[in-house]
Amino acid sequence: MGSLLKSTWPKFLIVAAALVFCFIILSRNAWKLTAMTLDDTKARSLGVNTHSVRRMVIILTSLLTSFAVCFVSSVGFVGIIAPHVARQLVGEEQRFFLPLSGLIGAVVVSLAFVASKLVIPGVVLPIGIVRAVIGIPVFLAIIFGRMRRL
Amino acid sequence: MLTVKKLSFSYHCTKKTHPVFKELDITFSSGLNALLGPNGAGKSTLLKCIFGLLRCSGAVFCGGRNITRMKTNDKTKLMSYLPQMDIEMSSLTVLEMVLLGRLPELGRRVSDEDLKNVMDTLDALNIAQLASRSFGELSGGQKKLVFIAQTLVREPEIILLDEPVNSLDLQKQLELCLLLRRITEEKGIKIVVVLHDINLAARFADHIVVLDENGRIYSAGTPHEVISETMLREVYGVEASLNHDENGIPSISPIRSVRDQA
Repeated sequence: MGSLLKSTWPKFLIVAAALVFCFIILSRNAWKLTAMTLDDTKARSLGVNTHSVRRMVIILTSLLTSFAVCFVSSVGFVGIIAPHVARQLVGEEQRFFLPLSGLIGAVVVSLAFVASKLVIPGVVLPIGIVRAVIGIPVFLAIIFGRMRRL
Repeated sequence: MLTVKKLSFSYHCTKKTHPVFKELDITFSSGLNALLGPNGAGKSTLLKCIFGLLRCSGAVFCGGRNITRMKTNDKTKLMSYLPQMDIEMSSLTVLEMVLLGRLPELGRRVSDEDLKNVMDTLDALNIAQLASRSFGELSGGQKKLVFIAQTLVREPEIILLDEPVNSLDLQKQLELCLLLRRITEEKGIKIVVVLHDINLAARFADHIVVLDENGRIYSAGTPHEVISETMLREVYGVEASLNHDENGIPSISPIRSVRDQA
C-alpha cells in the first residue's frame, strides 16, 4: 500500500524534476497526442509519426510511474479517476487535458492523504486504502455510466 | 504535376500475397483529377501509396521532386490526404477537429491566422454554425464535411481525397465539387479525388484516370475521352446509355448489369 509518509523533500524534488521534464516534452507534442485520440490511420494522414510518438509516450510514462512507485510505492486508482474527470471537464484536447489530469490527480491524492489522517485519530491509514474507498465507487460509476450510454 | 512511376504494391496476408499494382505509371495533371474504377481496383491503396501510408516500390514525383522517401512532416506540408475510413466517436469539438488539419504548423498557442483559416474553411463548406459542437453529436454527413474541412484547411500543393462525397446529400455533393473546382482554379492546388459517381466526375474533373479490377490503367484523359459505353461495360460490367448535354459533358444512365445477361 502506498503512503505519502515515505516522501521527503529530496525525493519530492527528484519526482518534480522528472514530472517537469516529461510534461514539457508531452506538452510540445500535445496536438500530435490529440490527433492520436482519433485513429492511427487518421493520425498518420495528419502527418503524425504514430510509432515514434507512441514510443516516446511509453518511455515517458514508464519513467514517471517508476519514479512515483519507487518513492511512495503504488497508489491505485489515480490513473483511473483523474483522466476521466478531466475528460468530462475539458474533453480530449491534450493541451488542456494533460495538465488538468495531472492537477486533479494531485488534488485527489492530497485530499485522500488528509482523509487518511482524519479517519482514526492518532493513526495514519495507508493512502491506498482511502484511495480504494473513493476509487472503487467512482470506477463503478464510470463503468455503469458508460453502459447506460451504450 | 504529380507523377507515379513504376509503382508496385502487394498486400501480404499470412502466407499469401495479393498484388495490387505492378509497375504502374500514372501522371495526374494540374486541376481536378478523378480516379475511377470498380471496388477492389486499388484506388484507395494508390492514394495511400502516394501519401506514403503504405510501403511500395517505385517512385512518386511532385514538380520534379521525388517525394517517396520524404519525411512524414515534410510530406504533410506538401500534401494533405482524406482517408476513406469514418470515425464515429470523439469528444473533440468541430473547431479542434479542423484545427488538427493544420498540425504541421500548429504551435502550443493557436494563432489568429489558424483560427481564421479554420473558420473560412468551415464557412466555405457551409458548416460554420457547427464549430463549437462536439464531433460525436454530428450526423454521418456532417462528420464527413468536418473531415473534408480538416483536409482543406491548409493550402498544400496536392490534396488527395478518398471518396469525399460518400454520405453527403445531393446538395452537399454538388457544393463540394464546385468548391474543389474553385480551389484548383483560384489557388492552383492539384486535387486527386476517388469517386464512384461517374456523372460527378464527368461534370467536374479536368482529367480522369480509370483503373480496372486488376489495378491497371484502363484509360486516362479528359471526361469526354474516357467515359464511354465500352468503358462502362468492360470496367464496371454495366450496360449504360451515354448522353451528352449542350456543353458536351457526358452523363450516364445505368441500364443493367452484364452479370444479369450471362
